[in-house]
Amino acid sequence: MLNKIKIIGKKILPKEQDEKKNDGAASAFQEAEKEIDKPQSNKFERENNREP
Amino acid sequence: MVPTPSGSLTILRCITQGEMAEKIDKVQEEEVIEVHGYLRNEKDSRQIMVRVVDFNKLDLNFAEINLKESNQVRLIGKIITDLHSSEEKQNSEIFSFKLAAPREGVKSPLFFCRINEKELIPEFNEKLKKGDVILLEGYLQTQKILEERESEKKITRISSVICYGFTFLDNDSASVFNPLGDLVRVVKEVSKIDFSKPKG
Repeated sequence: MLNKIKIIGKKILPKEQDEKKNDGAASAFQEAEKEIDKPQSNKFERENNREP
Repeated sequence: MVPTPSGSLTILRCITQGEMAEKIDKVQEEEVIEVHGYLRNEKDSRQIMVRVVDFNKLDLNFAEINLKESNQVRLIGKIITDLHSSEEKQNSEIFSFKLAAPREGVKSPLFFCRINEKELIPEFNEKLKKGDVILLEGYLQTQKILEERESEKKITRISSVICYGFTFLDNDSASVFNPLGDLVRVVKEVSKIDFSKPKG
């Protein structure tokens, strides 16, 4: 059967790996997650809460 | 990090190995790339990963990515659950089902799918049922769920394939023989999320 995906996006290193490398400094991954988690731009949550 | 057709952003976990891993390792952070691959469920979690088969660097900024092309999933599989809706959150009706899409290298081929487009739900209910084989068109989204239990914070990531279109191919039952000449593709435009509105 068919199972495929095509995505276009920017590369972000996994958090766990990044934390080790940066010794506590905020990683691009963490910054990206913070950006999504901001109340004004919580695009993950908003996806589920959008009005009809 | 990948934009979805609704305008939201999602962080998708990509996995690869060998020569491809070495190549992708050379890509700088924040660089925009196009990745081709297939879906694989992560063991012991509800996150769906992208197994990278091929990729190429694109000469554009993140803001220039075309939302209609940035996140596209194609699955041919059998619906193995009843189509059901549930009130997951306030004022939010979630319509979901599971699709079995076997593929070489994928041990757990059941994918959690959901429909956000309200216009597509009646079409689904009317035309599809458990056991039907469909070509599903959609996009992949992973949500981060933060659970606070006592003083402990636990982060889990839950993925689903958001379906915006389908083509009914046939039913798994031998007693049903669908004439392939009558294939009908049902696709709905993904509604853009209005991020200027306060969170509901």
